[in-house]
Amino acid sequence: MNFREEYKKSADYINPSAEALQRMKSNVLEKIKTPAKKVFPWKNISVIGGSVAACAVLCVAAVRFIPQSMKSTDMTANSMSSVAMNESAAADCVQNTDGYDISAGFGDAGSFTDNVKENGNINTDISDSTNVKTADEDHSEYSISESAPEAAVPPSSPNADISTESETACEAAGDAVQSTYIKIDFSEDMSLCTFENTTYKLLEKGEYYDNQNTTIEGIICEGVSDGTLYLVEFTENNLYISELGNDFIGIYIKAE
Amino acid sequence: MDTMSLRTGESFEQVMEFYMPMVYRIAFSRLGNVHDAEDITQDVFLKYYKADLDYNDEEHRKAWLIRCTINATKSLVTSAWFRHRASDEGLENMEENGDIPGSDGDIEKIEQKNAVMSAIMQLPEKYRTVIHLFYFEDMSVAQISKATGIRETTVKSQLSRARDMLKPMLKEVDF
Repeated sequence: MNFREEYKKSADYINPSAEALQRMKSNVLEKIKTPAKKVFPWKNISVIGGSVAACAVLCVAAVRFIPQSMKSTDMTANSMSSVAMNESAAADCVQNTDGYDISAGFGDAGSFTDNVKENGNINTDISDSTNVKTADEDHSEYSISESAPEAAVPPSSPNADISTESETACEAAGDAVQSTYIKIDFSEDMSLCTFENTTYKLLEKGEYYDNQNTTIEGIICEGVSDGTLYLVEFTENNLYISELGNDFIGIYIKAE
Repeated sequence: MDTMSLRTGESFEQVMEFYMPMVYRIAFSRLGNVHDAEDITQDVFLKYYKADLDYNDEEHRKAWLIRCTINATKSLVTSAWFRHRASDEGLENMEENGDIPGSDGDIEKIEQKNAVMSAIMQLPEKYRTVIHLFYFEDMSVAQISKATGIRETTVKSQLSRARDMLKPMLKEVDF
């Protein structure tokens, strides 16, 4: 058997019938004669409408949310700036405590003590938990705060070298001891100090012992204008300022 | 047949009368469904009418129709609607006959009557088309290549593979 012949014999099965041919022809001719209906452009309308709707949604969202986000950003920026300002202020305070500045707002801002190091030198230092009080405030001329914590800095020895002390003081020239009530500015050679915008002459600098045999360092200043004497004591952690009037009180041991 | 001027009712009808069986057969050989083959045939001639091309010769016209038929069947087979329908029909067949969905009912009837057609319908679609054009439409390899857009070597290899597939099924037939 030849494949070609056998395949063509099967044409009866795959050839369209006369009826089918006629039906197809008539359908095609009918479709050709019928004018094509103009289809309403639903697709274009939907595409354009969808795009417009999407744009509108985006615009509304932008109009609604951008100002809020801007506000929140501003608030955040403001809060951040205020925090930064606080931090910078705190940093300034901390920086100031590096010198002789003592801020009463910070109880542990520092102390002004002349310390004699192990090598015998007197070192002017500011340590923590310094309370600056006046004698009037404490109703005593020599009030020593009992609540002052134990300081790491040892008290200076009576055998402190005054020359070294002067050098140390000179290093701190221009710095100031500041409290809520009084501010002490030392001149370069520590010969003058300023309390409450009044210049005082530094008379003495030395150490003495109180009744508990505690070594106290201090200076005595004399008002240049009226001759008022002030005693400024530097204990371990505290600075006490008392007005001495015209009397010279206290036993000062001038370091040699 | 000389080049005819279309848009005149008679010439278009002549073209339809002459080529419609061929288009239908190709569509049927690819789809295996009478209704789909009829739809494809009508679509092809509508496209032919709308295209309104000037053909160099009848071979050109025939090649255009064959290519258009093949493309139309490809589009139908790959359409979502066709695949969805095929799956639905498969489910219906399973419910009615309890059989695994396979070839169309029309093909099954034909296959029962004719062994040759049965063997051809078991071939893959691309081999079916080449075999049909070569053996039924009496087209040469070059004509098939031109009509389908496949290279001649590919047509030859597809014919060879199709024959190799048919030989075990049709042992008494000479190719």
